[in-house]
Amino acid sequence: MPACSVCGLTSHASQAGRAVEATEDFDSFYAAVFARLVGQLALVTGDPHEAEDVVQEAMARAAPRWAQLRAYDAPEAWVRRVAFNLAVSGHRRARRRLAALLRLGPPAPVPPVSVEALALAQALQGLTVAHRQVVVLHYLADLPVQQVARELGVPVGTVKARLARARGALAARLAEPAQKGKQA
Amino acid sequence: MNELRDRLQELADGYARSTSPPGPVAARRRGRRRRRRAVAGIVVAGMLVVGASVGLLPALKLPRPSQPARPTPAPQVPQLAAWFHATYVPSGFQLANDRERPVERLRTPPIRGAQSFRLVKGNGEFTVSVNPDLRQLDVARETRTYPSVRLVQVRGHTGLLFPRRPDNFYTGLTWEERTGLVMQVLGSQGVPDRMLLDVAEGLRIVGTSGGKIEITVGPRPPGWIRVGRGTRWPSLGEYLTVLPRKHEQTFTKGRGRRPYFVIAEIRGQFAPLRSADKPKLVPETTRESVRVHGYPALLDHDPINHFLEVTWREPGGIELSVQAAEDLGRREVLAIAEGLRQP
Repeated sequence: MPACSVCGLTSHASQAGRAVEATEDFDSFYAAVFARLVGQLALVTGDPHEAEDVVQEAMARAAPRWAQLRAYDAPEAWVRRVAFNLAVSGHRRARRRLAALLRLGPPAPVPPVSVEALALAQALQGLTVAHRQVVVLHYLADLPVQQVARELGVPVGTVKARLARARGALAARLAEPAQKGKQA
Repeated sequence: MNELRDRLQELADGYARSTSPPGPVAARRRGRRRRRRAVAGIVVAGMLVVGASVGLLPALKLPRPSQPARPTPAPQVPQLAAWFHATYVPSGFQLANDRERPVERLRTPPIRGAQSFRLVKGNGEFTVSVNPDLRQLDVARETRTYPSVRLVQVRGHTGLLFPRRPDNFYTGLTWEERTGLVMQVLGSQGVPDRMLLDVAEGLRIVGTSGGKIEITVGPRPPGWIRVGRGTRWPSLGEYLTVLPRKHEQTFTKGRGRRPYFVIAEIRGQFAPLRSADKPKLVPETTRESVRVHGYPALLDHDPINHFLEVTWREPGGIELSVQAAEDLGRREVLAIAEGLRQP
């Protein structure tokens, strides 16, 4: 085991080595999950810039405790949970939006998406935050109902009920424009 | 379902592609800044606690300079015992009701251990209890405070009797049985004075080892039954003490007609009137500070129950208030208040 160049202690050197390793590990974790989490959070918040900000804030909270988090089975679930909590709290959301606006300036335009995607985004915004969360976790993050329940801290039955209601509401909302188009 | 999954994935991918991540370095920097702020907050809070403790220590440790003992103030009493009367009454109003009664204790629980008795046929009720608010009875002060009080001998002590009169249906007898124990027999619905005295003489009062007082009421004339025994019947006497007392005069423009106003006077209220003394029962009530007779007063407007009320305290522990229907107007209410005088 190499010794530390300052104090000569092997344990110290191994600690420093572990820190470097953890930093590199966090960087690769960040690169792997950031865009994916932004995509998921954007469906919950309805605003990609806000999603970016909450994910970055969750990452900032994960960074100092990464040595502990990297031992978890799914550190991504921890970051997503923090980001969800940040996105849900109205007061914190308003404060964060203001801070983000001051820090980043006005948001850059989002590239246009297809008409269907736009309709889906609008339909999602008609759901409650709780319903959007289960839809994103179950359909987008591909988590089974039990894991969604664990991640959100609610009973499995509640997740199932929310999923059913969200599906119904989405189907109704997505059917409306199509029917209007047919009538026209 | 697969279609929904695919469309969600497409939408999320669109958002993910459009994002420009600030990078892990920025996240770490932001995290460090958060931690520094948290640590600084803890340090500042700790310093404040230490500073406050250090500031308090001398006050706790240093011997206090000896101060000359203040002379005990003489008991405050009104210069005149007579009730206040209105010298200004808005035109058309006449006195409809003039009565004396104990002050209600509506915001407190019923008096513990109170025993009430009611006449089966006809009107009459009396309650025997320990006054929960008084530890000693200053007979000299009370006789100079109330115009209607009479001194009587009860169980070998000097007691105070508020006798039955046309304006006083709440008769009352109170005396200090022994140090720290002020007893009372409160009559309502016109119980005769003699009965209060007889009930008091027939009481058996025993102090138990646990510091509680056991009261046994002696035999009563036929027709009187115990109220509430084994039931939850309420009794008015459980919410009243003989002292302090209130005098009320109601003025109307004719029987049962609005608007009205009531002049109320409570004796034995010594502390200066504070904003919190008269709790606002209705959240919509607006409160204003005014002066009456040169003393600070509170003028409340309750828009839900449609009344105005001005309250203030005069020397000698007298609390006065004028409550009126809001139609009467603020100016008239204050004019009535300014016109109150002792004869």
